[in-house]
Amino acid sequence: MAIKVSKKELSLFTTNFSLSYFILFILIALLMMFMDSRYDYLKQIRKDFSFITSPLITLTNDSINFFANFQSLSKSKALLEEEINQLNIQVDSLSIENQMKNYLVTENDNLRKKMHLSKKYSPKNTYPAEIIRPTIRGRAQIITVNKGEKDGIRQGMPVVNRLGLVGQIYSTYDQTSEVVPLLSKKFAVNALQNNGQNHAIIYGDTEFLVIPFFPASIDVSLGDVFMTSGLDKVYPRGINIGKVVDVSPEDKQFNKILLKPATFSSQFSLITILDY
Amino acid sequence: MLKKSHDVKLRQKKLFAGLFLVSIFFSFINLFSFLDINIYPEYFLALMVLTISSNLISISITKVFLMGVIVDILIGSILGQYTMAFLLLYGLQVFSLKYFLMPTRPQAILLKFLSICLGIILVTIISQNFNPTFHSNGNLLNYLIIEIAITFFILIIFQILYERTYDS
Repeated sequence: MAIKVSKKELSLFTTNFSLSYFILFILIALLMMFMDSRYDYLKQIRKDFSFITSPLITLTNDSINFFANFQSLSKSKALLEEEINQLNIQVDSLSIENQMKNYLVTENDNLRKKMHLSKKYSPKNTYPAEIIRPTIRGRAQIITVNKGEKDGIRQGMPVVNRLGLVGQIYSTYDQTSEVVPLLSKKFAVNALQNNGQNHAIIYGDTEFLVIPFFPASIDVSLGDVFMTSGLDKVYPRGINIGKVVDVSPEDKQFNKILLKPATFSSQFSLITILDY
Repeated sequence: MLKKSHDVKLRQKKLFAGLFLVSIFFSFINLFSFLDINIYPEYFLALMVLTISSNLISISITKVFLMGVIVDILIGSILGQYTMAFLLLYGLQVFSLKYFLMPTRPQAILLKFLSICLGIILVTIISQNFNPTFHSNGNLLNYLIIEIAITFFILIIFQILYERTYDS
């Protein structure tokens, strides 16, 4: 005897799964992606929900700090004294360098005045800050620092440390800020070769910094240093970005240059944010 | 389907909450960064595959959608990235139930593996457009294989914890 089968039982999905709802939600997800890629809503949403996510980040940091503190507890007094001595020596040599730098800055200002050159911009204010973990969110490389809007940090401010350029403030919250590091694909900076002649735009590329098209007619050697040019009015002039580690011909006219960044976010914890 | 006792349901809800927090914790700290390797295991994908396939908590399409949005806010490269991946994983699970009403253990493992593969490929493709994580000269296939293997390993750990909710 033939069994009569209802249309619903023959359909693709016989559970309580609704195909129309499924398609509707997929469309909503696509719409969200489209809207976010166009208007960057996620940044604002994260800002609004930071009162929920901040405790999670703090909890993560605290647990890492807890383990890190064990290491510092195990340091002996002799080691600490040795470290203090080394730091004192470093402070002395830095203060001598600073005196020489101050003299050169004054001399440079006087020469620029005499030659009627435009005034060099210097940072209006500097904010020392500390990198707090995590350094990734999902897959994105983000440096989170412990200074936020309350401390006067604004989006777009350059971030440096004693070795060179670290990145740029991408997003600010009440008490923390996010920095786009040098190696992020979102990063780009106008740079000047250390001979002071050749300009280029340097991009972040996950493992190295890259100048995709650098004229082949210009000599570049391994070890050449690139620094900020100051032309973009975002970064002050003369901050170390990185040094050339590879030069490969892209075509007859251009070379592709890879640079090793002067700073890696995993190697330090203190940074300075510049109000420029 | 076997009916779960109230105790088991309660244990599984607690396990889900615990695994969710663990996933947040480890998504924020990349353990592999200590070894200088750019690999980001997908803890949330592993959790969702387990939740959907094993009914860790009672799940509906609306809940899947909301969880996707929450994960997007927490770690997504773009709003809708994980929402889309979770919804498609849910769709794949329902579709596969059409053919495997009572899957054997190897079939269930294979289905979970395929779900992980689909999820990771989707999330990686979307991520590469917004937050590329590997060098432009790097090998995407190697990256995907390693990430799938690690995420599947995490899923197995989650699965063992899930099975223990019945034992105890």
